[in-house]
Parts: sequence; structure tokens; C-alpha cells
Amino acid sequence: MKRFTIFLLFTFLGAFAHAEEITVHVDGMVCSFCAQGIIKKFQEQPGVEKVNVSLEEKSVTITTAKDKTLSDKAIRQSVDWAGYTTVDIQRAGGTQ
Amino acid sequence: MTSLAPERTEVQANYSITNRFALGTDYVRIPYRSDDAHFGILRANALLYRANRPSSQGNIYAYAGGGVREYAGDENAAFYYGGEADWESRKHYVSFRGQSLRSADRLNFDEFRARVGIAPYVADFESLHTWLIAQGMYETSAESQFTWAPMVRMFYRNVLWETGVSTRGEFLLNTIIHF
Repeated sequence: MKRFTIFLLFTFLGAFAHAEEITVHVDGMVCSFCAQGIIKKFQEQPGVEKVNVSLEEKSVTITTAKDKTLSDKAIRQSVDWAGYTTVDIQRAGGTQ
Repeated sequence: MTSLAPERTEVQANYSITNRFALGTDYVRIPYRSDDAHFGILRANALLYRANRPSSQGNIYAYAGGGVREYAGDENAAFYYGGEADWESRKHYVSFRGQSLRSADRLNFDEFRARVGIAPYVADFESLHTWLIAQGMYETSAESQFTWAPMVRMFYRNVLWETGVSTRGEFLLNTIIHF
């Protein structure tokens, strides 16, 4: 019973150790040379593991490290600093 | 950023202080009569206005600076100012630029440039981008003041280069690297 309880506890805790994928839709991002700055800006944020840009989708997808997240404020500031306008932010749980 | 042409050579380095303001240095060589005028300028670049739309971006910039000019062994204070406006989508591009290098002894050089560009194919972020650009330029110091040049611009990741030949038969090369 004790072993079962410990097993359940580790399984429960393991469920929270996941990376977050955040998709940010952006206005004005039409030039990949100019958009290099947006990758650099997001990579400077703590907890960001991967940044992908799609000019076709007009979006930036950020993957965080496990148990890390990025606030909406930090996202909007990074997009603004790179010279673009945030349209919306989509996380696994829904649009913001 | 470097720019090479028989009538002009320019090397710039700029650092963004904020997303709307940058400081930089600028070296410009301009042939004039029997010698070259050399300018060393400390410059400020300001983004005055930006319009971000879903499929396009428009910008207005202003530039200003000061430094020194050397010509035929004579040195003098120099001033620089200019402005630029551009609009681009993933397939089309237009820009207009006017800039002036002025010296305290009135040895002045003005330049106006207009560009129209089109992308023969639309590339995504990690691909090689190519643009075909028609450039028109008016330079007050040049023997032949009006020139036209077809140019090819390419960029991949953080490196951009453009090359062309003007109607004066001059080879043009510009490069920009983002760090």
C-alpha cells in the first residue's frame, strides 16, 4: 500500500513536469531578415527552449523548458521590442 | 553594414538602444573632383512611425549626426541628416530616402534614392529570400547625377546582400549583418 501510494505520488508529480507551447500571432512580420530580432528577444527570456517563426502563419511558437512558462506581459514586451504587434497569444489551455 | 560603389563607399555599425532608437558610426567616402572626401560620423537613428498590418509593414525613420570630414588634406566639422520611408509586404517593397552630408566649409553632398522591389517567390523564415529591385538615385556630387540600377537582393537568416550595376556602368554591392 505504501509502495502504491509512493508510486501514485510520483506519477501525479510527473504529470506537472511538462513544457509549454505558446503560439503568438503577430502583425507586421513580413521580412525574415528583420524578424531575426524576435527570435533573439525570446531566446533571452528565461525558460525558453525553442522559438519557431512562420511568416506564412504570421506567428511565433515558443516552447518552454519543463515546468517553465512565459507570462503574457513578457511575450508582448518581446514582440513589441522586436518591432511588431501582438494579435493574440494561444496556450495549450486556450486563446488569450 | 557596407555599401560599395565607385562613386561612394560607406561602412556603418549601429546598435539598438531601444526598439525605436539606435546609435552608430558611419564612414563615407565620396569622390569629388580630383580627390575623395572622407566623412567619419557619429549618428543617431530614430524610428518615428511604424504601421504593423497583418500582411505588411510601413516605417518612417530620421537620422542625424556629426563628425569630421577630410578632403584634400583639409579637415572640417561635418553634419549629417536624413530621412527614409518604406513599405513592404512579403512580395512588394518601396522605399524613399534622402540624406545630406554637410561640412562647415560648405562642401556638401546630397543624395536621394527611390527603390521598388518585387519577390519572384515567397520564402518562409529559414529559407533564402530573393528580391528584384529597381533603384533610382540622384547625387548632387556625381558627374552623372541621375542613375538607375537594377539590383538583386538576397538574404538568409541574419545576412543580407544586394548587388547590381548602375546606368553609369558601376558595380554596386551592399551587405548588412544583424548581430
